[in-house]
Amino acid sequence: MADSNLMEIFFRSIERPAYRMALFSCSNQDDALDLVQDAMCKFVAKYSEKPEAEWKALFYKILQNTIRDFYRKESVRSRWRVWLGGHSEEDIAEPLEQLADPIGQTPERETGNRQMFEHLQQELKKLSLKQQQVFLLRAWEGLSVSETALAMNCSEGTIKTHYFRATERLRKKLGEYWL
Amino acid sequence: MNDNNDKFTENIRSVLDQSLDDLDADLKVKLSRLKYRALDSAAQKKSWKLVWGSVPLTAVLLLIVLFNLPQPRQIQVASPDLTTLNILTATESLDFYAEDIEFYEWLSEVMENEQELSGQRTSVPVNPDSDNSPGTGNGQNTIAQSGTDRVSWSIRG
Repeated sequence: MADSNLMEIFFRSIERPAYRMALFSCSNQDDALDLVQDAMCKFVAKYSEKPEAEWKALFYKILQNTIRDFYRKESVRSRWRVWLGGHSEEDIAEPLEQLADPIGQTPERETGNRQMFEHLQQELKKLSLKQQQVFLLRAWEGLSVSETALAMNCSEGTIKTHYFRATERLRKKLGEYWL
Repeated sequence: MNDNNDKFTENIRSVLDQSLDDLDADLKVKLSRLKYRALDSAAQKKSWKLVWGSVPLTAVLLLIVLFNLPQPRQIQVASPDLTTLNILTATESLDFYAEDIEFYEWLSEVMENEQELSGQRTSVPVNPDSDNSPGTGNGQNTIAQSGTDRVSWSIRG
């Protein structure tokens, strides 16, 4: 077992970005916290013996798997809700769109960057889950192509394609404000 | 184009970083708790692993100790004589022998004495039609015969 102090420092460095990424994908604070906790527990159990340099990519790999599982469960739940409750097709179209936007309830509205962040968040949510997560891992977390491929469990070519498409789309939508 | 891309990415990164600083204080506390909960769960799992890991080790040690213990002396079991075997394997109830065990002891003594005196191997039961000449153990034969009669009476009774 690796030194728990090192692990604590590592968790401290990634807990907030991990939470933010989880929140982008599920749009619910409690769900995002659950996802981060699951990922942390699994990471400690499975990968704490690995070299420290690999921790970041491995942690995000677990987080991505946890988010994917959450999505699967959420889509199954949505289908059951439709069959049992008779909701319209629009309700099951996209789980992300059904969930409340938590940003309006946080103190982020007090910051100067609030408008920009909200704009970015909206556009990020419009991306597919893979494009969104690849973009965040590459552009924000600074993972290399190979590390992102490991985290996302797909080939480097796919990562490059997703990243390129995500960047292009965001540039088109946000470019006039951000460049 | 690349410069634009870099600038664009840099802008996004700074906005995202800023959003982390603006997280709710309550949320920061919750995130901190998550971290310690994950670390605690790992420590608990580790202690359970130690407990379960020690079980096979203990079992192996126990086996080694058991196999290396000095063996106790084998108790010599005397081979049962034929009479005992006959009694044990008889179809009659054991109560039958318990009722008059002294009589059977006396009877066996009588038979042994009679065997010694007559020097014959198969003198029991004694044939009542055999010759009654003196010096051939006639007195003992009579005793043996009466003993055999009593046995038959007991069995019938």
